[in-house]
Amino acid sequence: MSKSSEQLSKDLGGFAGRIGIVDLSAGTVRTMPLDPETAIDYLGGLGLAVKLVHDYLKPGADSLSPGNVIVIGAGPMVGTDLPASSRVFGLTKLPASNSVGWAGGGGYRFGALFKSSGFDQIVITGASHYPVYLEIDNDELSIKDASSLWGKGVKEANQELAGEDGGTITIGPAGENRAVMSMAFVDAISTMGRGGFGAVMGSKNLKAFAVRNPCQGVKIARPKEYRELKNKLMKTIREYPYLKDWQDKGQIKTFPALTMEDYEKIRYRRLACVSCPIGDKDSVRIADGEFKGNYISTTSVTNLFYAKTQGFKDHGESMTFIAQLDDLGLDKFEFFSIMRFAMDLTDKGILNNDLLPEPIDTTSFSSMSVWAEMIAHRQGFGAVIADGFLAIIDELGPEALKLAPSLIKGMHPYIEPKPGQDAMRFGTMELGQITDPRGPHIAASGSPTYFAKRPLSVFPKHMKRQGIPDEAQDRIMPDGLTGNSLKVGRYLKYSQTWFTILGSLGICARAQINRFYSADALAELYSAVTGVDTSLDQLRKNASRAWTLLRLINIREAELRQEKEAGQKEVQNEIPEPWIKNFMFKDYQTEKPLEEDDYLRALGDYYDEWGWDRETGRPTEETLKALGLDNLD
Amino acid sequence: MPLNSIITHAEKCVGCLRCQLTCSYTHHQNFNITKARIRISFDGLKMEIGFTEDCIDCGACVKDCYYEALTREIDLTAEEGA
Repeated sequence: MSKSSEQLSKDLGGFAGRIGIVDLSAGTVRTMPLDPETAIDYLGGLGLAVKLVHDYLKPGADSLSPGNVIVIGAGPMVGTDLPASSRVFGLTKLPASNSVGWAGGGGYRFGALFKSSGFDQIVITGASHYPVYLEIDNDELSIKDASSLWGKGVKEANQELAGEDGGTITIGPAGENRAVMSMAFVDAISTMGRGGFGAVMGSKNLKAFAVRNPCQGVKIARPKEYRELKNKLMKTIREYPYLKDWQDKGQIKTFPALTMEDYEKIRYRRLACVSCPIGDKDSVRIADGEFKGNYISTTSVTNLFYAKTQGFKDHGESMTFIAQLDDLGLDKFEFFSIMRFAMDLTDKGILNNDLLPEPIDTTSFSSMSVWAEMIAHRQGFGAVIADGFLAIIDELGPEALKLAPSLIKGMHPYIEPKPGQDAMRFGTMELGQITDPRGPHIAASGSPTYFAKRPLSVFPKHMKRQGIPDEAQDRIMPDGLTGNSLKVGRYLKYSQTWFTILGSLGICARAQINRFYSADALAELYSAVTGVDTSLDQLRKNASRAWTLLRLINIREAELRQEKEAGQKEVQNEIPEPWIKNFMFKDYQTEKPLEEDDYLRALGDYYDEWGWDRETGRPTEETLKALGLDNLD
Repeated sequence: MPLNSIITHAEKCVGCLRCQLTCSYTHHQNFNITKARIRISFDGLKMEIGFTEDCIDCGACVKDCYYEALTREIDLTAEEGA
């Protein structure tokens, strides 16, 4: 490291200063100093994790092979008392989508403990020959035997490892057995990695990551400046007229999946991620029925009612079943999507229900409980389902393909009209499902187009807050506030940039808290926390560098896969056929049903706004040079 | 038991640990929740708020709680005797 780098390292706040390198094949760990210039170039957290994946992923490695890498990191704000500065990111090649994607989670204390133990990132390569977990205790990183934990649910494993004061990232049996819809859980509460993050950990025989007894702590480079900025922010939150309402209702306010009356029957305690003044998690108690009196902690009370929306008999069954999925480490959305597909196959006689040990019925608690276990433990046809939609289609052939729902990168879209439902407005979230490298996710696609139609007059305020440059605002709304010219594709670029800024710094992106942050304020806070003067332009540029590098990694991986499987069509960013055939979406403003050209135009706008080729989505030489990515290996 | 004037309302606590963050920084100029003089523990059902012997009743935790789980009365007797 140069002398100026050394000095920068010494003065750097927010960052902990170390990266852990774990080789699970060899069973070794080492630490290396964080290179401060690289850390700043990629902001930290999510952004820096992208750079580390670029450096350590074996090109062309299968997602479940030792050549895949897992990078886990937390940004410079994590561990401070900035509101909602809890976010931890995992980056890896995900098996469901066969792409390198991000997985983010909050949690009660993992992120704060991780950072105050002196680590910014952990790089995990290879695969252990035996069940293990990683541990940081008194700031020392080590690999520990997990044979007594293997097979245990998320809750029990977390309790054993975390004790009273520790934090964990844990997988359940579904991840151990490499189900593509398996996730990891932060502190047994926050979900991480729909798309098989759990499976990647399982493929490495890695049960968990536990942190306790931190020594180093997290320091601030410019305390006076930090205190002024933070106090201003906290005052705004305290004076927010709906603060109490949000604190009281939590997720019900955003997703009223149940009435307040029903919520009052079950509510027990509200819970929050570390540092969050507007916590939206819950501990609830089942009010009646067979499971009356059971307590469940959840990252989202609306999640607990998801099975009821699928036809389960009552709330108690729904809540109990979702808690079972959480404990197995299965993603409820993908689970029900794939089980509905499997049920359609049995209804049409393509899969013989009579030969299955349990008939598939997505409205039945007993049926779904059995199937959840069979998938998590890869038993019988459960083993095929565990490999996802494409595996079922591969096994059962063209007749199954005809019944398959829309798929994007091998997974079911998060947002699309249900059968019989009207066409939905096409906003940044909807297009974001096609362009997110990890598959059909929406968290990185925030804008005023979320959910309800908004007048264009509200857009300028949000665009400014999200740090969208003025000249870009003119491209997003070329006719200004009048007319029907909203360019959803162009906006999406900035939604993703905003998400990358938040994730790289470590701030939660959920709407109810990120509303208090602006890009300008984040640039000032970043400067105060790290001690490195960072303008808004620089913040945007560094975030763009990280997202563009993620795109480059995925282009490389797709090309290598095409070479290996000559003739295989590599699905990158494609519009699902049902969207086009069935006119599932309509223009956000005009409500004109979208045709293929409309989708392609939006996608082209998106690529163009990123500085990527309009047709192929490949970053142009000019863009790579501007971001300093032109000389990377 | 430390002499402090802080009244705890554990039923309102959500476990955000802002009090632990702010306490550790106030006394150590460094964020580390395990060095805080206020401790929140949650066993999945019960939330408990406790203080270590080092608590000096500065009230930084009270100021930073957004859920009204910590309130303050001033113990005038203690002040006069200090």
